Amino acid sequence: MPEKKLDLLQGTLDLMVLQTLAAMGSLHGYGIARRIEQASGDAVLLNQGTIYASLVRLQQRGWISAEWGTSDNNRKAKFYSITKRGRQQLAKDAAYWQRLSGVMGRVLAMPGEGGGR
Amino acid sequence: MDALRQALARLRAFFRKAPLDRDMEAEMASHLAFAIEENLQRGLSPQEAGRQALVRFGGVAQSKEQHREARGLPALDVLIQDLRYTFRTLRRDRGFASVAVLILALGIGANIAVFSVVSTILLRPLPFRDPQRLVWMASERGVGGLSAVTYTVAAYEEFQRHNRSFQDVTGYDPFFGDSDFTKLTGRGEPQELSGVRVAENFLPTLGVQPALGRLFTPEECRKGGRLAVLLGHSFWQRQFAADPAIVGQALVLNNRPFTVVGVLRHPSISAPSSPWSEDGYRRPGYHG
Repeated sequence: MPEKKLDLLQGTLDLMVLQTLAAMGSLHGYGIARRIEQASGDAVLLNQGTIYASLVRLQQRGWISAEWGTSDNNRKAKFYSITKRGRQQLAKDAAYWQRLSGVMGRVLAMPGEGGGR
Repeated sequence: MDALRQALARLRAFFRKAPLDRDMEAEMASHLAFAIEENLQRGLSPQEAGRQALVRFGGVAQSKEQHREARGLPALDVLIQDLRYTFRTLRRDRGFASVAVLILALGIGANIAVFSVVSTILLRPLPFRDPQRLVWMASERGVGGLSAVTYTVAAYEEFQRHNRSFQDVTGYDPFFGDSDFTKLTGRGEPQELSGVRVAENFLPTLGVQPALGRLFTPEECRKGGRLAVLLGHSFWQRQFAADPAIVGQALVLNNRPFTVVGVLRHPSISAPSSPWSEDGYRRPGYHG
C-alpha cells in the first residue's frame, strides 16, 4: 500500500507558490500546480483548484503580478510572476520555515519511547 | 502595510464581483484545458482525460468559492444574504412586519422623549462657570408657585451686606415676562422681545462674558442711570445680521433709548440691563 499523501499545512501553499515563481519565472496556474507536484515528488495532496485562492491572496498583497497571455501551444492563460516585494517576503518566509523545521527535527530526534529514530 | 493593501484589494473586489468572476472562470477553464491536453498526450482516452483533469482539480465549485472568499469580503456577503432573506420574509408577512415596525418606532420614540427631558433637566450642567457652586435662594412663603418665591430689594441688599457663605449674591427681575420695555421700535417692524433686568453683578457672578463689547458698568446699574442693553447672540445674528457695528448704537425699547453695550456669547441669555432698582416696588429674585 502506498504511503498516504501529505495534507498541506495552513500557509505552506502560498510559500510554495512564491518559491515556484521565483525559481521558474512566469507561469500559469496549471504550470504552478504541476511544478509543485513534481518538486514534491508527488508526495503532496494538492487539489489543483486550491491554488487559485492562494494566487488571489498573493496578488492582493502585491507579492505577485498577473497578466493574460498566450502559452507555447497557443492557449490563452493568465501568467503570474513574482514581484520585488514578493522576493523579499519569500526570503523572510523561507528563513522562518527552515528555522521551524530545524527545531521540529531536533525535538523529534529526542531519544525515548515512541517517535524518535 | 501589506495588510492594508490587501484590505483595500478585498474592498475593491467586493464591488467588482461580475468581472472578477468572469476572469476566474476563464482562468479555471484554461487550467482544465491544459490538464486535458497533457492527459491526452499521455495516451488517455478523451473521456478519461477529462475525468482525471477534474479529479486533480478537486471540485470546481469549491475552488471558486475558496477563490471568492480569499479575494472579497465573505463576512459582508453573508450579512447581505441574511438581510435579503430578512426583507423577503418581512415582505411575505406584512401584518407582522408593520406591527414590529410600529412597536420599534414607539419604543424608540418613547426613549428619545424621556432621554431628552432627563438630559436637559438632570444631566446637562447649567451653561455658567462653576455651575455646581450656584445656589438659588428662594423663600417659602405664600402660594402661587415661583411667582411668590421672591425677595424685596431691601431684603436683597440685606443679604449682600451679611453674606459670608457665598462668594457673591446677585439678583434679577423675575417678572420679565410682563416687563414694560420689551417693545422694539425704529428698527423695521416693531416687535416684542423678551429680556431680563439684572443686577450689576449678575453676569460677572455667573461668569458670563460678552462676545462683543462689554458688560454693564456700575453707572448703568444705578437708579436713573444711563439705559443700556446687552443683546443675545442669536437675536443679534437674526436681527442685525451679526453686524459688530451695532455696539454703541441706540435701540428704542418701549419708546426709551437704550445703548447697546455688547453682545453675549452663544448660547446665551438675552439681557436688557438696567436696574430693577429704578422701580422700587418690584421684588427681585436671587442667584447666590
